[in-house]
Amino acid sequence: MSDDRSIGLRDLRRCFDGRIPAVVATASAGGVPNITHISLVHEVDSERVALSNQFMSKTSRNVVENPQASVLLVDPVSGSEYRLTIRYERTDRRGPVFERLRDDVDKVAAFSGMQDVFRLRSADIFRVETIEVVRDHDVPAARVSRQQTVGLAACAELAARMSRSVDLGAMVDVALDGLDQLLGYRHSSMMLLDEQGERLFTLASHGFAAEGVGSEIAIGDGIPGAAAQTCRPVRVGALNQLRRYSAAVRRSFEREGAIGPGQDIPLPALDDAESRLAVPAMVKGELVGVLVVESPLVAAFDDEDEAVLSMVAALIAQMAQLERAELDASATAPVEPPAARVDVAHEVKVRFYPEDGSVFLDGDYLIRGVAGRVLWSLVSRHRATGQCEFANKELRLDKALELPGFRDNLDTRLVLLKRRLEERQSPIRIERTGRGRFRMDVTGTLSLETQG
Amino acid sequence: MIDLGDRATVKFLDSGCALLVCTVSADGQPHAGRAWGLSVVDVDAHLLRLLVEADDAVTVANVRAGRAIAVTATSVRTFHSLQLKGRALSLEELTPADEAKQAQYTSDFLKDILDTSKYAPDVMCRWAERPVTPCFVTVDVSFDQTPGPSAGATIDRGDP
Repeated sequence: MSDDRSIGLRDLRRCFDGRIPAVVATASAGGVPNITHISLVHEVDSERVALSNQFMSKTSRNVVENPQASVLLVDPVSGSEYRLTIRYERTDRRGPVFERLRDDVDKVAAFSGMQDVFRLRSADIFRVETIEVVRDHDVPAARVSRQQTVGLAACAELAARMSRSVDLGAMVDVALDGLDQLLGYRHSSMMLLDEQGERLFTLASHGFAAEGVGSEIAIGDGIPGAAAQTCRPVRVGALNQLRRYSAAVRRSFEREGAIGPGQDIPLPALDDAESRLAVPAMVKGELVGVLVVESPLVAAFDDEDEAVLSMVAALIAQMAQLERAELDASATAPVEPPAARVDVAHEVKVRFYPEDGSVFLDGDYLIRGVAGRVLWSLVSRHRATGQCEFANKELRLDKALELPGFRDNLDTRLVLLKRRLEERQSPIRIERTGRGRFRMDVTGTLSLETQG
Repeated sequence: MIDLGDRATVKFLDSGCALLVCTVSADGQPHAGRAWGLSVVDVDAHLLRLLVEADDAVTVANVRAGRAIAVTATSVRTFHSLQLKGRALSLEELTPADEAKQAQYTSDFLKDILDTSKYAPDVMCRWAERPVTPCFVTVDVSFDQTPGPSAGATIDRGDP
């Protein structure tokens, strides 16, 4: 079991993805040993690794006294095991290595709502002196990347299909369908940033039992929230392990009184999800939303997946920006209210709660917030005047909607509302009829009620 | 010092938790290894019988030399973790009871891993195939090693 010089850190790459926890052993200056699992070991360069320090641990204190340490790493694919003899060099509290480790620590924190307490304090940098092969096993057939399987042509085809979309809603549908049909991403969702820049809401999803349109998550929470907060892709390849680890850390914080008992962030929509990748959708350097894919396979996504999905997310972001610009520039001509198309046979009960903008249809919750206020405004106008053709511009002038003056996101809220109405098979439907214009159809007679 | 006679502690140490072993060479070099079974032999004497890897020459040499040793037991399912520190006493001959202990431990350990993850069973099984050699260890002090702010806190008594 001597040092094998033919093995380099690059050969151990799979060992650094966190699927199987690494082990680090240190000793104090007095020779007292210490051994523990460590959540993160990162390859810094061909000669160095970095260990994360969240708790000013015994490990960190020991290496200041005695710079020698020993690390065990397991290759999750082959089962091979390696022992590294390493020597402490320095501690980073900023810089690229620190940032990389912090991203991974933030993932754990985001998973259990511990962003305020579970933070990377420092990255301890070690020089690798020897790599010993403890157990050497054959690697199964090399994994073939998704892009190698489907080819760049499929990516180009997806981009072409997306570019033919007439609006944001259609583009998102095309994107999610195409990700499945052309590139094999079976489970995906598109979340958009809300008007306040504080939450993400689901605009569309594909491949899940429940569509979840309108579901929300705070920026910083969960994998999508972490991607939104950092404006960088966030990838987890062993969700089940991450969930158990973050739960253990959270329980420890709760015992210390640092945080109160709370709800975990809901698990991914796939019951058996093991991998999740969230990439930010950016345009002009600003966040528009987050594209998310999931898989039941461990470590299903890699750098190439990040690249492909970032391209798709960028196209969606550009469409969102384009729509916003078009709406801002659209004509303000008054809209003639044509006769409403109403089927009077059925009464549609709409109940509105002004406090949070919640709307219930025939007793069932439909939507809340800006989208809820928009719907209430539409049905109120429809009830009062029979109006069924609307312009975004007139909605923007409605102060009851409480839209922010800058970047109100009205267009995406309308898409969300449209989808939600369709998902619930509601007797109320809205359809885009032109640039900045849409139509509302009601199958029945509206009965409106305000609560609270 | 933790009560090694406590039922919950014994149950935890006897379960399929991951067992990590650190020994320290004469020059102060720490060495990470694994163990594949642990039993509390004498509660009052704080004596453990530990199955270290027989082909881990450094660990075997350090144990033979009676050097300081740390053993960390971590639940695969919950990450609950306990570290015991003391001194290696002696290497022992492998007995049928040790072999049975290793078989039971490895079975429990792999079951916990495969129940909570999607690793390929054949990969995990061949990873866990290790020759072992028993040794006695005395425990002087114990620590809560569960990830979180309390990691490294000394345990005086009570459940793990």
